[in-house]
Amino acid sequence: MRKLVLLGFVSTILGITTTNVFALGECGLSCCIASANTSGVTLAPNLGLSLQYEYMDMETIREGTSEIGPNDVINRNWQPGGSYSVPTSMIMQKWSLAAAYPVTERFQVLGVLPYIKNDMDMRMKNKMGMVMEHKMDTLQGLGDITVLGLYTAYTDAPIRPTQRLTLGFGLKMPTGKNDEKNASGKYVHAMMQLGSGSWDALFTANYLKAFYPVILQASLFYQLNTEGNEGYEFGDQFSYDLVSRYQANNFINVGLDLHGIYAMKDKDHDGKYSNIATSMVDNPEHTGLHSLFLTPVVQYKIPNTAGSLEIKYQKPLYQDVNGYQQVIDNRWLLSLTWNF
Amino acid sequence: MRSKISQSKLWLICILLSLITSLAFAADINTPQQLFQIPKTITQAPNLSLFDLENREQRLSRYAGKVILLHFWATWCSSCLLELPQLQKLWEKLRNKGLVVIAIAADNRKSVEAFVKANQFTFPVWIDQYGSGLRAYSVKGFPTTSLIGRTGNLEGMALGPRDWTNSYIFKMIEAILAKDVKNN
Repeated sequence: MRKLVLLGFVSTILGITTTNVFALGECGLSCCIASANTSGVTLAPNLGLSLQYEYMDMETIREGTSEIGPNDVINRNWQPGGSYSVPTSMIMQKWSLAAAYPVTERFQVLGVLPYIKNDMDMRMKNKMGMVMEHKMDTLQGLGDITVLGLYTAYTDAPIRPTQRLTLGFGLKMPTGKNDEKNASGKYVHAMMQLGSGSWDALFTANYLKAFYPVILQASLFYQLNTEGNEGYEFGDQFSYDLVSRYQANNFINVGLDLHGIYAMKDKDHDGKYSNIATSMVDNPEHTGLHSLFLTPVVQYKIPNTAGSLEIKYQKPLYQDVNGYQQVIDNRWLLSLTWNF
Repeated sequence: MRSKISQSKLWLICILLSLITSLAFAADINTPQQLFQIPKTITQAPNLSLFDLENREQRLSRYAGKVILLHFWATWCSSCLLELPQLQKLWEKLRNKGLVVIAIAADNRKSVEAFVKANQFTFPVWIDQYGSGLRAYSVKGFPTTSLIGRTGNLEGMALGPRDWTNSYIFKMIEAILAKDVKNN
């Protein structure tokens, strides 16, 4: 689930920085700066607020790059006299409130507060060989808060630049619960917990090149994960994005993004979350992956305001996982952003 | 015998009334309060240090003691493109009376250079590359024109385009220049 958290965070960063739709929309007879921020230009003139809703569903299980059914995974791993469970469906929803504030004309602070709701259905073969479906209790609550500082290393204009390089450093804080337990008193799967229990460092770089009305961006993002307070350490993650936006008119931007993510294997130092013999998802060997997504985007600038709406749909193009993993099938992102 | 007001006299009265009303409105539109938003408290205009088109560092403090129109604009702002030639004319007429016009472009240098060259503007043009000018003057839209008096105080701000060739506006700026000389 950490890869999903990273996906969500990167999307939030890109969202708040790319969601402002270009408009020569006038405030009265003048050109409002707040409403004239172009897609990808970033940096709210005063304060930017973004409310984002994210929906992810996961059903497909992969072994490497191949798809494999849940029954096949069970049959390969179940031992007589034991049990083995496999997820059949996972739905993750996240509501994030992000705020961006320019401390100086070149330095901006960004904060993200997520609220998460996770649901999982599972299939289990018990010691008697019977296969049963069961539903995990819904987990919901505040996730890990992230604070990021973004510095404009170079730009050729404060608004509507043709080139811009932005560097960022941040911290993801262990504010979300990571010690939820099930009815049996065992830790719920690490990937389903609301938080990581760890302080993690974030590094980002974004380069923008604009040929108005076309804007291109390349972003790199690295999350250095540390061991959580319950002994679980998510693998470091590296993501790369290629973003394109076309300003179709004063109110609509359309775009196509390519998003790649490489995640390293997790480590369960204290073994609290691992049930290797009985659960597919409770096995650090079944973590770490490389995925590529294609993302069409539509942004709509709300006329005569400094607000904009964005809809994104992410579809996986390529997924290569360690062991067996349930992967993202569809992902939707909806965000409302307002500049003040 | 009742006298009736002829139709032609009625028309004349209507026309005269319309003329008086429009003159009254015209006078209101061109008062200093309409041209510039006067700040509630007098504050010192923030000093700026930016680079001009020859890449030389320029400071606003260099123009201390002058009446300055600080004009924020961008080449992608259609209102700005119409207004700058008017500012050029205003400046040509009043520069000898102490008016300084500085156009601060929140835009990339290449676009600004091309536009300035094509229109042959001669007033100073500075590049606000990182938006420090926008931030210092709380610029919310383009064009925005700040009026700085000889005392260095921010005396008014105009959000949106103005017709700088309008005779009323010209006389008003002239009066500000003359008043500031007297007071100083």
